[in-house]
Amino acid sequence: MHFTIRQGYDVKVDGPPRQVVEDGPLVSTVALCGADFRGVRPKILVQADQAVAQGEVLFVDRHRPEVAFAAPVSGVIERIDRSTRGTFDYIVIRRDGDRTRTFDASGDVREVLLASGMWPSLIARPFGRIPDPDATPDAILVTAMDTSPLAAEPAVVISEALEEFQEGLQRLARLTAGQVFVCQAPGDPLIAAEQEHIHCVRFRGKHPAGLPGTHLDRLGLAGRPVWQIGYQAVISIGRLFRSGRPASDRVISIAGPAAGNPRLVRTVQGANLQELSAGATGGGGVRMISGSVLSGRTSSYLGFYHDQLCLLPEPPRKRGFPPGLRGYAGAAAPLLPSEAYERALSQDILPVPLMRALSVGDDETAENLGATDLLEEDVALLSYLCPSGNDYGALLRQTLDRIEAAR
Amino acid sequence: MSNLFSSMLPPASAQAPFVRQGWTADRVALVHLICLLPPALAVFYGYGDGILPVIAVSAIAAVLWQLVFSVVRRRRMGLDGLVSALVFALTAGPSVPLWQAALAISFGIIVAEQVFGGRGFNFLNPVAAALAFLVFSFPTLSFDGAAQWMSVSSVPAAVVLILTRMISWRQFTGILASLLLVSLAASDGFPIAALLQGHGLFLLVFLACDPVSSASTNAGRWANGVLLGGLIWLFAPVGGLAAGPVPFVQAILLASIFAPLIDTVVVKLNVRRRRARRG
Repeated sequence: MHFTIRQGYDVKVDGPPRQVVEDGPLVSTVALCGADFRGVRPKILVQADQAVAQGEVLFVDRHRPEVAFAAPVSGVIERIDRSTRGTFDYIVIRRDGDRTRTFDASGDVREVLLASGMWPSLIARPFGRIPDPDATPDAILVTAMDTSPLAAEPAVVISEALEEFQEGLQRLARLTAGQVFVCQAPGDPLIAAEQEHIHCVRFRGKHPAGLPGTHLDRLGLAGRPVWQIGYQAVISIGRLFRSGRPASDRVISIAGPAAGNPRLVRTVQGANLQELSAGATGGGGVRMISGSVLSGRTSSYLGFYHDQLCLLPEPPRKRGFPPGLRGYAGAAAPLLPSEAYERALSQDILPVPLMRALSVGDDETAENLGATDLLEEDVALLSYLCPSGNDYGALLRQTLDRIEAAR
Repeated sequence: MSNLFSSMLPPASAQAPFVRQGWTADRVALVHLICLLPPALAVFYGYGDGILPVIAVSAIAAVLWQLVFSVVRRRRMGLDGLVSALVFALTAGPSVPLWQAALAISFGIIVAEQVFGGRGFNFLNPVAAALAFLVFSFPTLSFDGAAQWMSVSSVPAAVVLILTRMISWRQFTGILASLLLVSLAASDGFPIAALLQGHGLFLLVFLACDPVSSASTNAGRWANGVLLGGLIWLFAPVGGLAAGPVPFVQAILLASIFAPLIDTVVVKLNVRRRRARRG
């Protein structure tokens, strides 16, 4: 199957990476970040100074104790930064030794994924939560393309782990009665051969052509229970089932205007970004962004779902106008309903009415307009284009949370 | 101990996106001001320096009211008041008494814009409201004919604003197409020359296509444009197109009252289409 996405923008950011994978510096600390796991109430099972093996469970979801979150590397818990509202900012592990839990690769796929901490790599739509342990999706979308600015080329990464990728796809296919769609850019197929339940779908176009929100819309799956997963997580699942040992390797792009040497490096999930960004150039300080410049976040550690580190120069302070009224911030900034937004969403969703509904918190209208077909990353271009400075991703999340709570 | 450490780390914050396209409300206003320079020069060339006091008084009044609301609301103010003042003054012409100009632009800025929360929250264009105020409050006032070249010199502005998507090409085309069709159907003749002679094209670019007081969906923009073209013809058949700004102002005000209705219909159809697709 082949789809051409008419909509979209070519977001130009300086410092694209060389698409060759190098070994990254061996980071001394890694961390899991609580903000990555939306809606998870963590029950932390480890304490500071405790030694943990790779794959050892650090915490589980209080509501669904089967959903486990595991240590990406072997080491010692350096500290746990608890935050308010019963969650944590970071669980930091100082790397030490090479102890690894092993799993029975012939076991049930679902159980192995849950026990090894791989399960949270899956994201269920609508609402973008980690799926329930006993849920079955109508389809699984493997996102094997990336149209975000400065992203790594997935075909390059997958070409180094073709067998693991196929293995991962086979295992994923057992989680659904429906199809597994490998969504990729035009070019050679990333799957070995079309199989009964595994299909290759090509999408051509500018960002957001590479987002799962676009893919499920074109595949006619919007509104149905669908899971999405990134291609690197599929490779990790393949490694887990081939070797019995959990894998947390990630190839990430380190790029951006402040990156001294923009390139792809091999590292681990949760890697310390300070250590990874050594060699960054920036006179007035460097901003480390985990994830894409459109939908990522500033962070000290690589996010669980992220495969990009963007290095931007620290932005200059904002000036007020007139100068005497500096600091008069707008509580609700206006949006100018220009035609430019019409190309920002790939779905048949009216952008300006949606932006208005999101910014005033009109959940009913937002839902009618199709907000539940979207996740934060899908509306990032609206924030990119809108002069008001609104973060429509954050607004959408609040709306989605309220809609989900009301169901 | 853990608290001590956590205070040293920047919190994982969600403040994406970290790059923006760079269009702030002020830059949008600045582009409009630059686009207004050729028509302003044309008006100055046509009327002489009698237009300068009108521009000055309108600008002072507009900025003053913006400043008042900015201070009361503790919100920063934009440059859009200057754009409104300039469009108003160039349309009103040099023979409008200064106190009437000040009163009208104050009415427009306050009642049609600032009471709603400023530009972007309003649904009527403040300049259209100010011009209507002039027409209705001072019936003895007669507008000057348009300065020669005023509309012709708005052509670059039309190109720039359409290419930068600050005004909608759909709405602009809709206006021209429906005006053309209705005029030809009524065998009134060809309206384009009349648009270029009078205030026509200037008002289409800077008033009629204001995105804030127009429909904000693509289908709605077409409908809004067609409606505008029809209304303009209704208020001024082709002979009257070059006579003055009044029919344009009436058409623009009426059309912008319909704009939210048009959007509502488009949204309803979109929602119904989505439901049908889901089954």
